[in-house]
Amino acid sequence: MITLRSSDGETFDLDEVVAVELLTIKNMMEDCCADSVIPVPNVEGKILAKVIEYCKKHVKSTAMAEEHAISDADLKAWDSDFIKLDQATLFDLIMAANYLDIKSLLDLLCQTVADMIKGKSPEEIRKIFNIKNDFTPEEEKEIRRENQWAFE
Amino acid sequence: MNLPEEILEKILSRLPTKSLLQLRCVCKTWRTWISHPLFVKTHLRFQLELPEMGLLYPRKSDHDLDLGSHLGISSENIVAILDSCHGLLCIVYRFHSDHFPKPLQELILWNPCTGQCNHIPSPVFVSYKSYWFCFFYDSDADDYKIVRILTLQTMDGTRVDVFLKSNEWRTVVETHASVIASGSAIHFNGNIHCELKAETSWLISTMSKVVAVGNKNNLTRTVRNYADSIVLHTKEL
Repeated sequence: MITLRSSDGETFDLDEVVAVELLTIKNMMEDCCADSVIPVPNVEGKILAKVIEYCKKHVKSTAMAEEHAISDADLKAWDSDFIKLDQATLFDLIMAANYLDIKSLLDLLCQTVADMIKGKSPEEIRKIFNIKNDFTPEEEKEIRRENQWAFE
Repeated sequence: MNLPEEILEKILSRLPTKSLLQLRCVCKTWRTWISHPLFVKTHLRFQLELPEMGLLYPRKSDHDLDLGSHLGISSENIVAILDSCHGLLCIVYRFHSDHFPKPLQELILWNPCTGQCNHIPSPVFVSYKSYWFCFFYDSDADDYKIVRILTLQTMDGTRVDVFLKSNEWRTVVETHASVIASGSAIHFNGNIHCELKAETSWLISTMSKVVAVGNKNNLTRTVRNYADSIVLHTKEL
Protein backbone atom coordinates (compact mmCIF):
# COMPACT_ATOMS: atom_id res chain seq x y z
CA MET A 1 0.00 0.00 0.00
CA ILE A 2 1.36 3.39 -1.01
CA THR A 3 0.18 6.71 0.41
CA LEU A 4 0.25 9.94 -1.58
CA ARG A 5 -0.23 13.39 -0.05
CA SER A 6 -1.53 16.23 -2.19
CA SER A 7 -0.42 19.85 -2.00
CA ASP A 8 -3.37 20.69 0.30
CA GLY A 9 -2.69 17.86 2.73
CA GLU A 10 -5.18 15.23 1.54
CA THR A 11 -3.88 11.67 1.62
CA PHE A 12 -4.72 8.83 -0.73
CA ASP A 13 -3.97 5.15 -0.27
CA LEU A 14 -3.41 3.05 -3.34
CA ASP A 15 -2.22 -0.45 -4.22
CA GLU A 16 1.30 -0.67 -5.51
CA VAL A 17 0.03 -2.01 -8.84
CA VAL A 18 -1.87 1.26 -9.35
CA ALA A 19 0.90 3.47 -7.98
CA VAL A 20 3.39 2.23 -10.59
CA GLU A 21 1.15 3.62 -13.35
CA LEU A 22 2.30 7.04 -12.17
CA LEU A 23 5.87 6.80 -13.43
CA THR A 24 7.13 9.68 -11.31
CA ILE A 25 5.84 7.90 -8.19
CA LYS A 26 7.25 4.58 -9.40
CA ASN A 27 10.71 6.16 -9.66
CA MET A 28 10.40 7.70 -6.21
CA MET A 29 9.36 4.33 -4.79
CA GLU A 30 12.44 2.72 -6.26
CA ASP A 31 14.72 5.46 -4.97
CA CYS A 32 13.55 5.88 -1.42
CA CYS A 33 10.06 6.37 -0.13
CA ALA A 34 8.79 2.80 -0.26
CA ASP A 35 7.18 2.82 3.19
CA SER A 36 6.52 6.45 3.90
CA VAL A 37 4.01 8.95 2.59
CA ILE A 38 4.96 10.34 -0.80
CA PRO A 39 4.33 14.06 -1.15
CA VAL A 40 2.91 15.37 -4.43
CA PRO A 41 3.43 19.10 -3.94
CA ASN A 42 2.29 20.19 -7.41
CA VAL A 43 -1.15 18.62 -7.35
CA GLU A 44 -4.28 19.55 -5.38
CA GLY A 45 -6.40 16.94 -3.61
CA LYS A 46 -9.40 17.07 -5.95
CA ILE A 47 -7.18 16.70 -9.02
CA LEU A 48 -5.10 13.90 -7.53
CA ALA A 49 -8.36 12.10 -6.75
CA LYS A 50 -9.30 12.23 -10.45
CA VAL A 51 -5.88 10.99 -11.51
CA ILE A 52 -6.07 8.06 -9.15
CA GLU A 53 -9.61 7.25 -10.31
CA TYR A 54 -8.31 7.05 -13.91
CA CYS A 55 -5.33 4.88 -13.02
CA LYS A 56 -7.43 2.50 -10.94
CA LYS A 57 -9.88 2.01 -13.80
CA HIS A 58 -7.18 1.41 -16.37
CA VAL A 59 -5.16 -0.97 -14.22
CA LYS A 60 -8.31 -2.89 -13.32
CA SER A 61 -9.16 -3.14 -17.00
CA THR A 62 -5.76 -4.59 -17.85
CA ALA A 63 -5.99 -7.12 -15.04
CA MET A 64 -9.61 -8.00 -15.66
CA ALA A 65 -9.26 -8.09 -19.38
CA GLU A 66 -7.91 -11.59 -19.24
CA GLU A 67 -10.69 -12.91 -16.99
CA HIS A 68 -13.77 -10.87 -17.79
CA ALA A 69 -12.76 -9.28 -21.05
CA ILE A 70 -13.70 -5.64 -20.61
CA SER A 71 -14.10 -4.45 -24.13
CA ASP A 72 -12.08 -1.59 -25.52
CA ALA A 73 -15.38 0.03 -26.37
CA ASP A 74 -16.46 0.02 -22.72
CA LEU A 75 -13.17 1.53 -21.60
CA LYS A 76 -13.40 4.18 -24.29
CA ALA A 77 -16.94 5.01 -23.15
CA TRP A 78 -15.69 5.35 -19.59
CA ASP A 79 -12.90 7.66 -20.79
CA SER A 80 -15.43 9.80 -22.68
CA ASP A 81 -17.40 10.32 -19.49
CA PHE A 82 -14.27 10.88 -17.46
CA ILE A 83 -13.18 13.86 -19.54
CA LYS A 84 -16.49 15.69 -19.26
CA LEU A 85 -14.98 18.34 -17.06
CA ASP A 86 -14.78 22.11 -16.95
CA GLN A 87 -11.84 23.67 -18.69
CA ALA A 88 -9.94 24.68 -15.56
CA THR A 89 -10.07 21.12 -14.21
CA LEU A 90 -8.99 19.76 -17.58
CA PHE A 91 -5.93 21.99 -17.63
CA ASP A 92 -5.09 21.15 -14.01
CA LEU A 93 -5.39 17.46 -14.87
CA ILE A 94 -3.05 17.87 -17.84
CA MET A 95 -0.43 19.50 -15.63
CA ALA A 96 -0.83 16.70 -13.07
CA ALA A 97 -0.62 13.93 -15.69
CA ASN A 98 2.50 15.57 -17.08
CA TYR A 99 4.17 15.89 -13.69
CA LEU A 100 3.20 12.39 -12.60
CA ASP A 101 4.22 11.03 -16.03
CA ILE A 102 1.10 9.06 -16.95
CA LYS A 103 1.34 8.75 -20.72
CA SER A 104 -2.10 7.35 -21.52
CA LEU A 105 -3.88 9.97 -19.42
CA LEU A 106 -1.80 12.77 -20.91
CA ASP A 107 -2.54 11.53 -24.44
CA LEU A 108 -6.26 11.35 -23.67
CA LEU A 109 -6.32 14.86 -22.23
CA CYS A 110 -4.24 16.38 -25.04
CA GLN A 111 -6.56 14.82 -27.60
CA THR A 112 -9.54 16.22 -25.68
CA VAL A 113 -8.11 19.73 -25.75
CA ALA A 114 -7.16 19.36 -29.44
CA ASP A 115 -10.75 18.36 -30.23
CA MET A 116 -11.93 21.36 -28.24
CA ILE A 117 -9.71 23.72 -30.23
CA LYS A 118 -10.51 22.31 -33.66
CA GLY A 119 -12.95 24.52 -35.46
CA LYS A 120 -12.70 27.45 -33.05
CA SER A 121 -11.77 30.90 -34.22
CA PRO A 122 -8.48 32.50 -33.12
CA GLU A 123 -10.44 34.84 -30.84
CA GLU A 124 -12.12 31.94 -29.05
CA ILE A 125 -8.72 30.23 -28.72
CA ARG A 126 -7.29 33.34 -27.10
CA LYS A 127 -10.10 33.25 -24.51
CA ILE A 128 -9.47 29.59 -23.74
CA PHE A 129 -5.75 30.03 -23.21
CA ASN A 130 -5.96 33.54 -21.84
CA ILE A 131 -3.70 34.94 -24.56
CA LYS A 132 -3.35 38.57 -25.51
CA ASN A 133 -3.48 39.36 -29.20
CA ASP A 134 -0.23 41.17 -29.94
CA PHE A 135 -0.78 41.57 -33.67
CA THR A 136 -1.88 44.83 -35.19
CA PRO A 137 -5.05 44.53 -37.30
CA GLU A 138 -2.88 44.85 -40.45
CA GLU A 139 -0.52 42.07 -39.35
CA GLU A 140 -3.40 39.76 -38.57
CA LYS A 141 -4.99 40.48 -41.92
CA GLU A 142 -1.71 39.65 -43.66
CA ILE A 143 -1.42 36.27 -41.95
CA ARG A 144 -5.01 35.41 -42.85
CA ARG A 145 -4.30 36.37 -46.43
CA GLU A 146 -1.17 34.17 -46.58
CA ASN A 147 -3.16 31.12 -45.58
CA GLN A 148 -6.48 32.15 -47.01
CA TRP A 149 -7.58 28.67 -47.98
CA ALA A 150 -7.35 27.52 -44.36
CA PHE A 151 -10.03 30.01 -43.40
CA GLU A 152 -12.48 29.01 -46.11
CA MET B 1 -3.98 29.36 -17.26
CA ASN B 2 -0.80 29.01 -19.22
CA LEU B 3 0.17 25.55 -20.33
CA PRO B 4 3.90 24.93 -20.75
CA GLU B 5 5.35 24.73 -24.25
CA GLU B 6 5.94 20.97 -24.18
CA ILE B 7 2.27 20.34 -23.49
CA LEU B 8 1.08 22.82 -26.08
CA GLU B 9 3.29 21.04 -28.58
CA LYS B 10 1.58 17.72 -27.73
CA ILE B 11 -1.83 19.31 -28.19
CA LEU B 12 -1.05 21.18 -31.40
CA SER B 13 0.58 18.12 -32.98
CA ARG B 14 -2.82 16.47 -32.94
CA LEU B 15 -4.46 19.15 -35.04
CA PRO B 16 -4.85 18.90 -38.79
CA THR B 17 -2.68 21.26 -40.81
CA LYS B 18 -5.62 23.41 -41.81
CA SER B 19 -6.47 24.20 -38.17
CA LEU B 20 -2.83 24.93 -37.43
CA LEU B 21 -2.62 27.48 -40.20
CA GLN B 22 -5.58 29.33 -38.69
CA LEU B 23 -3.89 29.32 -35.31
CA ARG B 24 -0.92 31.22 -36.68
CA CYS B 25 -2.85 34.44 -36.08
CA VAL B 26 -3.59 33.81 -32.39
CA CYS B 27 -0.46 35.61 -31.25
CA LYS B 28 3.18 36.13 -32.23
CA THR B 29 4.48 33.33 -30.02
CA TRP B 30 2.10 30.80 -31.55
CA ARG B 31 2.99 31.95 -35.04
CA THR B 32 6.68 31.34 -34.31
CA TRP B 33 6.01 27.93 -32.74
CA ILE B 34 3.80 26.65 -35.53
CA SER B 35 6.33 27.61 -38.18
CA HIS B 36 9.31 26.30 -36.22
CA PRO B 37 11.07 23.43 -38.05
CA LEU B 38 11.20 21.29 -34.89
CA PHE B 39 7.49 21.62 -34.36
CA VAL B 40 6.78 20.90 -38.01
CA LYS B 41 8.73 17.68 -37.65
CA THR B 42 6.91 16.64 -34.44
CA HIS B 43 3.60 17.41 -36.10
CA LEU B 44 4.50 15.44 -39.20
CA ARG B 45 5.64 12.44 -37.20
CA PHE B 46 2.38 12.44 -35.31
CA GLN B 47 0.21 12.88 -38.41
CA LEU B 48 2.03 10.08 -40.24
CA GLU B 49 0.96 7.66 -37.53
CA LEU B 50 -2.70 8.45 -37.95
CA PRO B 51 -4.70 5.85 -39.85
CA GLU B 52 -5.98 8.30 -42.42
CA MET B 53 -3.69 10.66 -44.16
CA GLY B 54 -4.48 12.59 -47.24
CA LEU B 55 -2.80 15.41 -49.02
CA LEU B 56 -4.57 18.68 -48.31
CA TYR B 57 -5.24 20.19 -51.69
CA PRO B 58 -6.44 23.78 -51.66
CA ARG B 59 -9.20 24.62 -54.09
CA LYS B 60 -10.31 28.09 -54.95
CA SER B 61 -13.60 27.06 -56.52
CA ASP B 62 -15.14 24.13 -58.29
CA HIS B 63 -12.58 24.39 -61.08
CA ASP B 64 -9.41 22.41 -61.09
CA LEU B 65 -6.45 23.64 -59.16
CA ASP B 66 -4.54 26.22 -61.14
CA LEU B 67 -1.10 24.92 -60.27
CA GLY B 68 0.75 27.51 -62.29
CA SER B 69 -0.60 30.46 -60.35
CA HIS B 70 0.50 28.92 -57.08
CA LEU B 71 4.00 28.40 -58.38
CA GLY B 72 4.39 31.66 -60.25
CA ILE B 73 4.84 30.09 -63.68
CA SER B 74 2.66 29.62 -66.71
CA SER B 75 0.52 26.49 -66.37
CA GLU B 76 1.26 25.31 -69.88
CA ASN B 77 4.94 24.94 -68.98
CA ILE B 78 4.24 22.46 -66.23
CA VAL B 79 5.27 19.02 -67.39
CA ALA B 80 4.27 16.78 -64.53
CA ILE B 81 4.00 16.26 -60.81
CA LEU B 82 6.88 13.86 -60.41
CA ASP B 83 6.62 12.60 -56.91
CA SER B 84 5.36 13.44 -53.47
CA CYS B 85 6.67 12.90 -50.00
CA HIS B 86 5.18 13.93 -46.65
CA GLY B 87 2.74 16.24 -48.36
CA LEU B 88 5.39 18.02 -50.42
CA LEU B 89 5.17 17.87 -54.19
CA CYS B 90 8.05 17.72 -56.62
CA ILE B 91 7.05 19.29 -59.91
CA VAL B 92 8.95 19.53 -63.17
CA TYR B 93 8.46 22.41 -65.56
CA ARG B 94 9.91 23.65 -68.81
CA PHE B 95 11.57 26.92 -69.52
CA HIS B 96 13.39 28.41 -72.46
CA SER B 97 16.95 29.58 -72.12
CA ASP B 98 18.96 31.57 -74.63
CA HIS B 99 21.94 29.29 -74.12
CA PHE B 100 20.27 26.10 -75.27
CA PRO B 101 18.27 25.35 -78.40
CA LYS B 102 15.79 23.11 -76.65
CA PRO B 103 13.75 24.02 -73.57
CA LEU B 104 15.29 22.99 -70.27
CA GLN B 105 13.54 21.31 -67.43
CA GLU B 106 13.66 22.45 -63.84
CA LEU B 107 12.23 21.24 -60.56
CA ILE B 108 10.18 22.92 -57.89
CA LEU B 109 9.40 21.57 -54.45
CA TRP B 110 6.03 22.85 -53.35
CA ASN B 111 4.21 22.70 -50.03
CA PRO B 112 0.52 23.09 -50.94
CA CYS B 113 -0.43 23.85 -47.33
CA THR B 114 1.86 26.76 -46.69
CA GLY B 115 2.39 27.78 -50.31
CA GLN B 116 6.18 27.73 -50.02
CA CYS B 117 8.12 26.95 -53.18
CA ASN B 118 11.73 25.91 -53.50
CA HIS B 119 13.30 26.11 -56.93
CA ILE B 120 15.87 23.39 -57.34
CA PRO B 121 18.85 24.57 -59.38
CA SER B 122 19.25 22.68 -62.65
CA PRO B 123 21.68 19.83 -62.73
CA VAL B 124 24.40 19.96 -65.36
CA PHE B 125 22.89 19.81 -68.81
CA VAL B 126 23.46 16.44 -70.43
CA SER B 127 21.71 14.98 -73.46
CA TYR B 128 19.60 12.11 -72.38
CA LYS B 129 17.35 9.46 -73.81
CA SER B 130 15.23 9.17 -70.74
CA TYR B 131 15.23 10.30 -67.16
CA TRP B 132 13.67 9.26 -63.93
CA PHE B 133 13.36 11.13 -60.63
CA CYS B 134 12.61 10.06 -57.12
CA PHE B 135 11.89 12.44 -54.24
CA PHE B 136 12.06 11.06 -50.73
CA TYR B 137 12.97 11.70 -47.10
CA ASP B 138 16.26 10.28 -45.88
CA SER B 139 15.79 9.84 -42.12
CA ASP B 140 19.50 9.15 -41.50
CA ALA B 141 20.54 12.45 -43.01
CA ASP B 142 17.32 14.13 -41.79
CA ASP B 143 16.78 15.71 -45.15
CA TYR B 144 14.78 15.41 -48.31
CA LYS B 145 16.70 14.16 -51.33
CA ILE B 146 16.06 14.02 -55.03
CA VAL B 147 17.64 11.28 -57.09
CA ARG B 148 17.89 11.53 -60.86
CA ILE B 149 18.76 8.59 -63.09
CA LEU B 150 19.64 9.59 -66.64
CA THR B 151 20.08 7.30 -69.58
CA LEU B 152 22.53 9.17 -71.78
CA GLN B 153 21.94 9.92 -75.42
CA THR B 154 25.39 10.38 -76.82
CA MET B 155 26.81 7.06 -75.76
CA ASP B 156 25.36 4.13 -74.01
CA GLY B 157 25.60 5.04 -70.40
CA THR B 158 23.79 5.92 -67.27
CA ARG B 159 24.33 8.57 -64.73
CA VAL B 160 22.84 8.88 -61.26
CA ASP B 161 22.80 12.24 -59.51
CA VAL B 162 21.59 13.15 -56.07
CA PHE B 163 20.47 16.60 -54.94
CA LEU B 164 21.73 17.35 -51.46
CA LYS B 165 21.15 19.70 -48.54
CA SER B 166 24.17 21.70 -49.66
CA ASN B 167 22.00 22.84 -52.59
CA GLU B 168 24.02 21.06 -55.25
CA TRP B 169 23.76 18.01 -57.43
CA ARG B 170 26.36 15.34 -56.96
CA THR B 171 27.00 12.55 -59.41
CA VAL B 172 27.16 9.27 -57.54
CA VAL B 173 27.31 6.79 -60.38
CA GLU B 174 28.51 6.96 -63.96
CA THR B 175 28.50 3.74 -65.85
CA HIS B 176 28.69 2.70 -69.49
CA ALA B 177 25.75 0.35 -69.29
CA SER B 178 22.43 1.84 -70.21
CA VAL B 179 20.13 1.31 -67.35
CA ILE B 180 16.65 2.71 -67.62
CA ALA B 181 14.61 3.21 -64.51
CA SER B 182 10.90 3.28 -65.01
CA GLY B 183 7.63 3.07 -63.19
CA SER B 184 6.91 4.59 -59.83
CA ALA B 185 9.40 4.40 -57.05
CA ILE B 186 8.59 3.05 -53.66
CA HIS B 187 10.65 4.27 -50.77
CA PHE B 188 10.66 1.97 -47.83
CA ASN B 189 12.94 2.00 -44.82
CA GLY B 190 15.43 4.35 -46.37
CA ASN B 191 15.76 2.49 -49.64
CA ILE B 192 14.34 3.28 -53.05
CA HIS B 193 12.93 0.37 -54.93
CA CYS B 194 12.54 0.86 -58.62
CA GLU B 195 12.44 -1.22 -61.72
CA LEU B 196 15.57 -1.08 -63.81
CA LYS B 197 15.71 -2.27 -67.37
CA ALA B 198 18.88 -2.67 -69.33
CA GLU B 199 18.71 -1.82 -72.99
CA THR B 200 21.80 -1.93 -75.11
CA SER B 201 22.09 -2.42 -78.78
CA TRP B 202 23.77 -5.80 -78.54
CA LEU B 203 21.31 -7.40 -76.11
CA ILE B 204 18.75 -9.59 -77.80
CA SER B 205 16.21 -9.48 -75.09
CA THR B 206 15.52 -6.89 -72.43
CA MET B 207 16.28 -7.72 -68.90
CA SER B 208 14.14 -6.34 -66.18
CA LYS B 209 14.71 -6.72 -62.51
CA VAL B 210 13.61 -5.08 -59.32
CA VAL B 211 16.65 -3.79 -57.54
CA ALA B 212 16.90 -2.17 -54.14
CA VAL B 213 18.65 1.14 -54.65
CA GLY B 214 19.96 2.25 -51.29
CA ASN B 215 20.10 5.96 -50.70
CA LYS B 216 23.46 6.32 -49.04
CA ASN B 217 26.60 4.42 -49.82
CA ASN B 218 24.44 1.58 -50.92
CA LEU B 219 23.21 3.63 -53.86
CA THR B 220 26.59 3.72 -55.49
CA ARG B 221 27.36 0.11 -54.80
CA THR B 222 24.06 -1.44 -55.79
CA VAL B 223 23.48 0.44 -59.02
CA ARG B 224 27.10 0.08 -60.04
CA ASN B 225 27.03 -3.64 -59.24
CA TYR B 226 23.91 -4.12 -61.25
CA ALA B 227 25.14 -2.02 -64.14
CA ASP B 228 28.49 -3.81 -64.10
CA SER B 229 26.78 -7.15 -64.09
CA ILE B 230 24.95 -6.20 -67.28
CA VAL B 231 28.18 -5.21 -68.95
CA LEU B 232 29.78 -8.45 -67.83
CA HIS B 233 26.89 -10.48 -69.10
CA THR B 234 26.84 -8.84 -72.50
CA LYS B 235 30.56 -9.41 -72.94
CA GLU B 236 29.96 -13.08 -72.53
CA LEU B 237 27.42 -13.21 -75.33
